[in-house]
Amino acid sequence: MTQITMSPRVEALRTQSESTIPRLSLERALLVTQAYEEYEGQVSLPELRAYALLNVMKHKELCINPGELIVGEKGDGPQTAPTFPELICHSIEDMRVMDVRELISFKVDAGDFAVQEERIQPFWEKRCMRKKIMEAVSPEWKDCYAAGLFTEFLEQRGPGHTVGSEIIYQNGFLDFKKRIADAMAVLDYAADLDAQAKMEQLRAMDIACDAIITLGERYAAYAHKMADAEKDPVRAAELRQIAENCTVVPAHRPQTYWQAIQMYWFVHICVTTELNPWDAYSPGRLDQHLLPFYEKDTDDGILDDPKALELLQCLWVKFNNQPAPPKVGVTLKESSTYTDFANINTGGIKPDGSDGVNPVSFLILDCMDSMRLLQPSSNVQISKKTPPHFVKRALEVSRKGWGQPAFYNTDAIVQELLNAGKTIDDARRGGASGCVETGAFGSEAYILTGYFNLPKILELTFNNGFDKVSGKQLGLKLGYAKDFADWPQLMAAYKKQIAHFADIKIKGSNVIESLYARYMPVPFLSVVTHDCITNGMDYNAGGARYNTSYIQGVGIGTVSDSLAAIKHLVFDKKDIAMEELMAVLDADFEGREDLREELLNEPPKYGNDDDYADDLMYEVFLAFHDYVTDRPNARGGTYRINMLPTTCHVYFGEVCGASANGRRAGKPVSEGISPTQGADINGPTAAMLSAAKMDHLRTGGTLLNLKFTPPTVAGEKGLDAMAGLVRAYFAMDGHHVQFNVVDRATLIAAQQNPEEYKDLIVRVAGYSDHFRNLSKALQDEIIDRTEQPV
Amino acid sequence: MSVLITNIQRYAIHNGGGIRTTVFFKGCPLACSWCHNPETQSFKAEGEVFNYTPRQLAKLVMRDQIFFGEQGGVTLSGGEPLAQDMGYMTEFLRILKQSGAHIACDTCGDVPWDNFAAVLPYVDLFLYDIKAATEELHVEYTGRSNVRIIDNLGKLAQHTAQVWLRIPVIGGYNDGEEMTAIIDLAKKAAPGRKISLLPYHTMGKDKWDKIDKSPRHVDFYTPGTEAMAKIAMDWKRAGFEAEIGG
Repeated sequence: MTQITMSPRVEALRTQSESTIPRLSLERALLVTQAYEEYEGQVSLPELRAYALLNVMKHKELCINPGELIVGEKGDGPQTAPTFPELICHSIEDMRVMDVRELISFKVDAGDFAVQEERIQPFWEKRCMRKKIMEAVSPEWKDCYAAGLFTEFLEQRGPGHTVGSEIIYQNGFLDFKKRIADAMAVLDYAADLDAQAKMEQLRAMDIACDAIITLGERYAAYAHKMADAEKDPVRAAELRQIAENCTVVPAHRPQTYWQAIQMYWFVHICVTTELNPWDAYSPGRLDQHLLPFYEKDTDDGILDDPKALELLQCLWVKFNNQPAPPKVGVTLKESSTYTDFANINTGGIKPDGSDGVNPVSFLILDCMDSMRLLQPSSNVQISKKTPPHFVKRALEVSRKGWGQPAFYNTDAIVQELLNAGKTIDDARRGGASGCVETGAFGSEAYILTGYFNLPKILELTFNNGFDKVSGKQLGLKLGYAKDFADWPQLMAAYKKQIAHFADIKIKGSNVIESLYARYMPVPFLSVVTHDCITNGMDYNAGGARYNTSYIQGVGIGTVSDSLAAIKHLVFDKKDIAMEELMAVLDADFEGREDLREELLNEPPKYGNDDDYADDLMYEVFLAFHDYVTDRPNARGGTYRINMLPTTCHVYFGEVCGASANGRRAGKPVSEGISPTQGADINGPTAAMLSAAKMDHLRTGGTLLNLKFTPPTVAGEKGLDAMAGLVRAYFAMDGHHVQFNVVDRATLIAAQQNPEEYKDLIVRVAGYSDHFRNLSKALQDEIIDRTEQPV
Repeated sequence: MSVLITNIQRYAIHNGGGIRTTVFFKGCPLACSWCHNPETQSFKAEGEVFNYTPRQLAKLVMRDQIFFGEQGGVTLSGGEPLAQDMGYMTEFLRILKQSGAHIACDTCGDVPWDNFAAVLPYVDLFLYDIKAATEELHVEYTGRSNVRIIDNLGKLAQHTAQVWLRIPVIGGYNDGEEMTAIIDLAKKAAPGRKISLLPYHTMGKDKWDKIDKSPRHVDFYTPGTEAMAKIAMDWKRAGFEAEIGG
């Protein structure tokens, strides 16, 4: 088996990244506040935002870590997390909690409490986006949000989901400034009544280019200064090369492989400092972007594979140095992780449709394999054309058990994008980001709006729309479970309730997107996203070529099994009366363990290739899909759905009572489109056949987790079998699959002795995390996922 | 026309190539003491058993067809698939063959030659088990002579190239001198074939307890890694393509 190692330099950087304790940094908050104080009222809003970014890049502390080859941090060093008070102005209590909470904590410097109280809070408390949003949305939206019917992604973080393209390797920011000037020159104030708004937007983009150029210049000077002071001649030469790199990029387009990587990283820092978009930012098809530089440098004799790998490893460390912005409340529950979801796509196809695997693709796999870092999330795209040895090498890494790379179906992604109205060229340039979300890289703003609690809606359907947990009438009054005379009546009521809550969610999202469009332009992100310059419009206002909004369905396994149980036992077999079943669920099976056993074991379950349950899954999926898809959003695009949970299946379970599949009140619901934990007993092929009955091509991504014990996938046969599973699932249009290869005993031991299993990384849902950083409920959930036996 | 089935195992990757679905038929002429599926020895309808028509069974085992790829398919095992109602078996195989499945048959060989002849048009690969070369030893541990087994192997090897031998390596039974005798036997009956050496494992013990029976002999052990490697080397020297594990 291939074993790739790290150079001492990389090892040291990795250790620094992994051992540094995450902490809060108020530097950005202060610099942004300062810029607002100086410019607000004198310039347009887009320009104000650009000046804020410029002020940060002019004055932020610089950092070059010992030995590193790629430079730039969001804070003043590894694992520092800037805050974004213009979105959420943390209370002192929030900061205290962040400082001491057991999981996903951020250390707060003693002096920062006073800074927050005296400088940040007075300015932002009453005007941050969270405040604006809560004042603008309807009371029913707020009630549903509080009750856990859905979550809201934009409540603490900026609109995200966007991925870079090839343009930053073909243009420097001086070139972008030229493009912006050209766009300004053609503005027609006579014919175009939006010309002035466009001019303001373009001016802001121009200032944003200055911001990144300033950062590059400052790093060049800083590296020179460090080189002069450096005693080790080898390191001094490296620092001079870093200085040289920062003189070329970001102002000019990169000339070398090293500079290309540095270019990406500067862009990443600026996108994620400007605002804190969900799922950060990603390079997209890194292997294809880097290939021309790799080939030229190798031909020129200035690059070999070990050096090319080391530079990738240095980039990986930079990703891992940036924890996701500190979250609180529901947003923390739905995404309880330090991972910020930058996700690198490797393999797939080229824009002309031919196989995209190249030598850099293999180096990226080697990089993942050797680094074993949570960030960046790494995946491979597999198309019909992907050569078997690439699939095998990817599986060899995946089989080691920590969940990377995940596997995405290129051919499905292309069809999903075509179905959503992209051109074939843009579709082929696309891929998956975040967890599994489909997007046209470099040209689409695909905003995730929030998770949608399908099991909770079923619960409300049984109770005449009344939520017993919050004590409020949230749904439509369509009757109680006992009032539904037959199966079609029950299903019709459930579908009406789904539509009702989707409606509330969509109305709220339209309000929130409008607020972002007005108050939170992102001129820098707009520069690097196709068509924002030519449209003279901001990324957050619909300036991108494609503007999609997503609602993410959660708990389809729990819903399918609950419906199957009721249909089977109440309507078909008439084993139990509906009223009795509802009473037992209300009592959380108290005194009726026998019935719980029956519900768990007797009725058909989704995930076993049994049409009885799988048809119900499809029916619910389609109802959700049909109601949401193609409804207009506030940015000139449409809503669509995807099916993924991050950690939200745990939170959604907490707000649900017991369900008819035997699930106890408060326990996690099923994750992604995976079968309910422990319900799929016919092996991985049956689980995949069930999952493939969902119409993946109508979604913007689905997530399937499979857990294997190590012996099941051992040896050449194990590898071949895994490849067979991936290929067959993808032949059925499955969107994504990921493998957890770790046995139950190990997980239980790690739960009991976390200190001894500090390194244990597991696949959660669309990303990997340290097992020790997961809540007890999530650990239990992963332990309970079905192990697929031979 | 009926046969009993104890289990249909999907995603089986250790009996024949690729991803396979294995169907276990109930009833076997042999009664091996090391058997890891003892519930399939008796032909009686006992414990959890399933009854399907040939067409139902063919549909069930083909549900994973998309996973079979070029190498995978359906494996008949048991018990002894060729000691069943052969009218049923040929009808089942005829239907299965129509769906294009690669069909493997795991057999102990102790059945009338006519039963082999009946399935030859359908089966793509035979997994032929050899437990011992010495007849007395065979009788003592399996309850039956091996004369017909050796005879059938010779015939089968002449009819089709697609015969792989499977040798359970049972510590304390056939892992010593007896293995040399088995190699000699195989050189004569089926030279140069692919050999799977399957080290004895104790996972079947629970199953014996579950059916409330005990085998005649229990004092077996699992051969060590080095011992297995040496046996594999002996087979390779004798001109066979040997692998350890299925």
